[in-house]
Amino acid sequence: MNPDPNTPPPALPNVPTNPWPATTPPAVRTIPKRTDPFEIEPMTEPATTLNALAALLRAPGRILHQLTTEGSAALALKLLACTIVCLAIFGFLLGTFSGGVQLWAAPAKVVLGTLASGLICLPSLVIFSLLSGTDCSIAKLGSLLLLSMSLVGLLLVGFAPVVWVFAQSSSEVGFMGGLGLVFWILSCAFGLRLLLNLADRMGAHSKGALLAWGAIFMLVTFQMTSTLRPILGQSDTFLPETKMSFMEYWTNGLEPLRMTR
Amino acid sequence: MAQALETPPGGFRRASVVWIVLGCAAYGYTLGMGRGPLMGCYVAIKLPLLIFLTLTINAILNGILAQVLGSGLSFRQTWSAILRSFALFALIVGSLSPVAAYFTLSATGHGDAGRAHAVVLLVHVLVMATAGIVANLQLLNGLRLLLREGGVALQVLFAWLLGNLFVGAQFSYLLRPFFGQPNLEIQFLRPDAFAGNFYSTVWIMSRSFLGTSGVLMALAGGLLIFLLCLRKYANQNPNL
Repeated sequence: MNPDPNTPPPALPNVPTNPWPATTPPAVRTIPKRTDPFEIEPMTEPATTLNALAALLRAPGRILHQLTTEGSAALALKLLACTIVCLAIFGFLLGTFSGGVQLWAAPAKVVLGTLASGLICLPSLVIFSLLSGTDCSIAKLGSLLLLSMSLVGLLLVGFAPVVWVFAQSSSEVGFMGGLGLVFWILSCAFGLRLLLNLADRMGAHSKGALLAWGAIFMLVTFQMTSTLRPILGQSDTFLPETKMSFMEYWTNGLEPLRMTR
Repeated sequence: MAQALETPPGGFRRASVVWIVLGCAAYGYTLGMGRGPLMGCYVAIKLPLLIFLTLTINAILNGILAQVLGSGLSFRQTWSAILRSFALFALIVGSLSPVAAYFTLSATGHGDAGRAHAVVLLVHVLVMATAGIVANLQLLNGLRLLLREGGVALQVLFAWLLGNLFVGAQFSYLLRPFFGQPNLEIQFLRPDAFAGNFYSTVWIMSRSFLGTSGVLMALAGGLLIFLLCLRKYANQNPNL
């Protein structure tokens, strides 16, 4: 006997289809990928000092936008103050290598040398950025330079504990000088990378001119190590009485200070 | 690994710290036991200390580098990631400590002490290199899964590795002896522990073997190989 095809099938008891639902492990939520950390766009958080420093590391384009809008002087001053503090911390820990007068002289020289290098190189930054095709005002370029120097300062604070460890256990000025120089070059490389990427978002069509500016900036800071010598080691005077190129200083000038703190 | 990095639970870091202490203490004991139980106890204290000192000194730098390189990892996540990696290292070396102890006991106490020291040293180098490679590969896999960008993950790991190796080498020099030369007395720290640094010592030793020009040529060769690798990597990752 065939059942009537129109007869509906008997209702099934109300049993869940799977009494033991498989418990899937929670999926890994990946870090949300930003479209572009260097995109120049408004900050989403209030521009406090901490937020500004966080943005400098994660989304520097936002802080550049904030710096170039109305009423940004306060933020610029905060960033400048942070940069000075960061450079001073790095300088102080370099100064612990020699101790004594260098505890205050080294931070003063590091801060002074870096800010002076920035000021000396600002006019050439304007020209070289024009050559690279960047279309922006001097104020915007000043903000760009300030951001790059702030990043250099932050990175130097990151390197500072390492400097302290070596300052406490080394006695060779040459080694400490080399170490400080390596950290300085690495930090400046990140600062230059920031500058290049932000300039790119501001219309720069070639990086060659800005890379050349970066090399000039590095040379100026290298010369500062001789102009403001000694940043490591002891000296009778705060500033040197004779002039010397940094090449000469590094190869010959450090000799008398070797093996001394 | 990736899940633990993304939302590190409260007990996760504590567990990692415990693993590092236990694993490295167990392995540290086997490192020093060739010179006697006292030396073993000293190294059992110093090996976890070496790891925590390196982690602490590089904590800020590692966090900054992770953010500057575009990983999006917070300072806490960076700390957890590296802590986890060291915990894995500690687990591996801890689990291999009976093996290392067996080799140490087999090699020492008879025959040429210098030769036995060299054999034990080689075994420990192999064990630690294996554990280090495995721990870092696991960390790289976790970072790749978490960041979805292999290039950034590799850059971040490379930056962390470079910093940790640089500082770790100096701390291992300051906290010496670990293996203990057979002809030197057993000490927790050398009397001149804080005089000199690892890199100056390596420079002086290399110069005595190879001469200044030989060392400079070796350094130039190393730099050249590094730059060639970097160029190859940059070609593979045009967004670098």
